[in-house]
Amino acid sequence: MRRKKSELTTTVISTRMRLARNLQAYPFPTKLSREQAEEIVVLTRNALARLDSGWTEYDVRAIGKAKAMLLQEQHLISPALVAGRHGGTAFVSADGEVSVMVNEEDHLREQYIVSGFRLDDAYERVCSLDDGLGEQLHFAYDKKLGFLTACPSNVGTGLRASVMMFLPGLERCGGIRALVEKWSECGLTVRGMFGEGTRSEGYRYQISNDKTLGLSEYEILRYMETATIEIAQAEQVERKKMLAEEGYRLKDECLRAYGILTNCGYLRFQEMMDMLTQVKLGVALGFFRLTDDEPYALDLFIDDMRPYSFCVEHDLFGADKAARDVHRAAVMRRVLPRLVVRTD
Amino acid sequence: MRLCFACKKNHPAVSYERKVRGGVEIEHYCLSCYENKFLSIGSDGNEDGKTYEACPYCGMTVAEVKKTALVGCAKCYQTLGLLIVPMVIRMQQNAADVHRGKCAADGEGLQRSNRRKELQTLAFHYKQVGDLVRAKACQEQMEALDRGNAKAGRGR
Ligand SMILES: [Zn+2]
Ligand SMILES: [Zn+2]
Repeated sequence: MRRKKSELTTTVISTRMRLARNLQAYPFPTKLSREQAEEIVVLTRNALARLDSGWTEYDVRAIGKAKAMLLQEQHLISPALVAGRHGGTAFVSADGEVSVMVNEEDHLREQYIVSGFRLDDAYERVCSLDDGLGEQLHFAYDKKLGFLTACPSNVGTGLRASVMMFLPGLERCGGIRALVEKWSECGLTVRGMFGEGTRSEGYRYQISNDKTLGLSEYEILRYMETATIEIAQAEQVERKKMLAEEGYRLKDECLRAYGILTNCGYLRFQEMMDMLTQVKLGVALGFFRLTDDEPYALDLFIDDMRPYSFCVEHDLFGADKAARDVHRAAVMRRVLPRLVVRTD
Repeated sequence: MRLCFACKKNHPAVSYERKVRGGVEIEHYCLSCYENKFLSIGSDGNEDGKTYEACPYCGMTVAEVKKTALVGCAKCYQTLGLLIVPMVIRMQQNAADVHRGKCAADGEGLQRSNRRKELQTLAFHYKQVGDLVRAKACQEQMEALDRGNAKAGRGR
């Protein structure tokens, strides 16, 4: 298992769990009145406070666009929460890892996201939160259909488990379509990040369960585990082929990207993301190594460089675009060589 | 001879078209399976088992559900069952499935007591913000629940 885990560190970026729950006494969010929506916020606030201290509450109507965008980049809230009829509310745990969205598509969306391949840990965390809430709130539940949700695609467990994978080998060899078809027959979805269909940004794909009814949480996690490991193995095979067939050219591409990132004076966001993808590919193919023991240091750094996170971290909201691009280049020159070095 | 997709015993009475890769598959169910599996939601005695054009609890209409693929409330699963059950089957890929896995705090009594906790929280909240009318309404609902619990207790 340990060996498998280490193979998975260059293919799995993060694991995410989400539980959808609704309160029996209220219509679902599309039919809620303003007062009912507020009552649900009061009930959730109260229930969470009894479980844990240190929850931070964000009313999306009150926090302003920049903060809302930042929370989205951190995957703590969704665009749908911001767009909701009455404006949703999010509660974020003291460690910033768990969030409960209130009045998104469902009354409650409990979710947890963590680096790496950690299906069981992630589920346990969100499940124990759910146990605590379930002792205080009257969830809409039916013996046959399980937890009732606004969209019938979530009934049953209400669980959406997902794993974010980095699949350059499979994307480059055109193997994604076959994956999508194979796993959709098993009730799993493979989709490219930031976009429907099978295209991806930065070779990133999300694997998640489609089916929520008729399988227990444990079974869903096992399916996900099997799929992730199989996909990771197929990816390793393709990476070896890539190295054998076009290793020199790929190495050159990755080194050039690294060279630009560590030597530029002006760096646009999209260019940075493209180049960082090349660097990440270089790490996956062994042209670079991480200096840190933390295997997800590069992914975490990429997250920190997202537009709103970057502006908050470096206090750049007042700055114009050119100043930000110059600053981005400076940060990149300073941080990247400390994080990632050539292996030769 | 064709038999019910779920029980594989009775003759089918309801058919359902399921989109699959490269075409459409038709699944057939007997009425009792169809109802038994999906139309018995929230059977706490005050339901009449009918289906409607709009949900009498939340006002969600058939047309809205078709447009948004969202239901309006927990009761919609029953009141708009003829529409929603096939949606569940299509989205969940198998008609014979029923829920497995984690259960909600089980039993009517416990669920009622959770609603009572909710009302207590709300009564306290409304008192704090000075909305005594709503606080009183919550109080009354709590009392009604207590009367219901007492009745259920005697019934057993
Ligand atoms: Zn039957
Ligand atoms: Zn309804």
